[in-house]
Amino acid sequence: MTARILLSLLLAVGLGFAQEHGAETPAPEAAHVEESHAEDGDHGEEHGEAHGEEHGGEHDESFSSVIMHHIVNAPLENEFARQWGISKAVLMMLISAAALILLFGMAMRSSRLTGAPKGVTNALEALVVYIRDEVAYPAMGKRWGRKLTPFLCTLFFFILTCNLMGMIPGSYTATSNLNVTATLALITLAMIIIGGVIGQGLGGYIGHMAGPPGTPTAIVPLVFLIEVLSLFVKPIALMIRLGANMTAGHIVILVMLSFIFVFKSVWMGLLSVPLAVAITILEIIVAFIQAYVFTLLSAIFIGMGLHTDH
Amino acid sequence: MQATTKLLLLTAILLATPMMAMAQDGGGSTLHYMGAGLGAGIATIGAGIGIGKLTAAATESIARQPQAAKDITAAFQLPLFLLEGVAVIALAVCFVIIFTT
Repeated sequence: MTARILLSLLLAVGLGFAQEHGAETPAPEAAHVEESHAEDGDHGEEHGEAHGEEHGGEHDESFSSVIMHHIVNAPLENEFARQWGISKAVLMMLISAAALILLFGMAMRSSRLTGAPKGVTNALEALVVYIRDEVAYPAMGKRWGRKLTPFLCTLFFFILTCNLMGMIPGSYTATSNLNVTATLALITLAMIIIGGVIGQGLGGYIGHMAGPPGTPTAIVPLVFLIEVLSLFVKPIALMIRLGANMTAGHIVILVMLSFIFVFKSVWMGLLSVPLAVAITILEIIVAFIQAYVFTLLSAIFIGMGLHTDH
Repeated sequence: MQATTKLLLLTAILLATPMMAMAQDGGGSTLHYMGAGLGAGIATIGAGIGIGKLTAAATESIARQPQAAKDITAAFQLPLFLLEGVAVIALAVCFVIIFTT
């Protein structure tokens, strides 16, 4: 297990150094579930309470710039990090990857793979089996479902871990950065196109974009244009959906807590903090849902490409 | 009832016009906040209506045939998230208006 962890971290760090800060590396399509892409970052946003001290002295900054400071990506203060182009998002992704490698490494120790699963193996197996049976098999059939379940699980667990790590006070949500979600969407787009080409042949895939057989030749260019547009709009929608959901939740929490400073009274906290707690609970639910939605929609789009009946 | 609705709408517009004029007096560069707020609100109305109708149809069909509950749940999950995604995309546009102008 130590060798696996070291190899994965070496791969992750190597990939991370190949990137500019703020952008993400496409993950290799791994055959095993725990491989995740990673980058580094360090610093990160702090929520209202910790932020209160430094905010008291800054009267010339507008609220929107203060809120944006906690939500946008930025290079880190560390000299080593700046030299290597490591930003907040990059560090959070590396931490997510390391956490996933450790977690799945523990779950898949050979001593745990015989007999009934228990403990962390059981928990993770429940999620993996759910993705296989409810997301992959209905969307892609048994054969392709079995082959693509590792990819879908990678997507699901990576997005879930990044979302949940953003909930920790003092850290940054990597998936709220549009660069990160854009790379995830690009990977899904590549899989959609590859799925379409494998399922229908290269000529068949482009041919089916001209519409079902029987469309009048006059509108074939229009139908082709619409199909190509829809091919690209789907990953763009995935990207914006995930990024905006994560960003919106954090903005609402920060706005709730900033009421205390706007009204300049501590008693506002009696109203503000329970509201912020309620929205934090909602955000945790949204973290799970958004990871599931990204995975579900990716599976459905890839399945559509693999299976279009002639 | 229709006359009352028209009267209410007219009153609302008449009351809103001096407000918009006052907003423009304050530099003319703050009107986009109102636009962003209105946009986010209207997008939420659309999402609320859509998701409400979808859930109503889904629960009614589960009530008619409880043994199909699993299939129906799997069937309405996709449009539910697509609708939510549309509302969130509108919200993202409002964020862009607020935080970049």
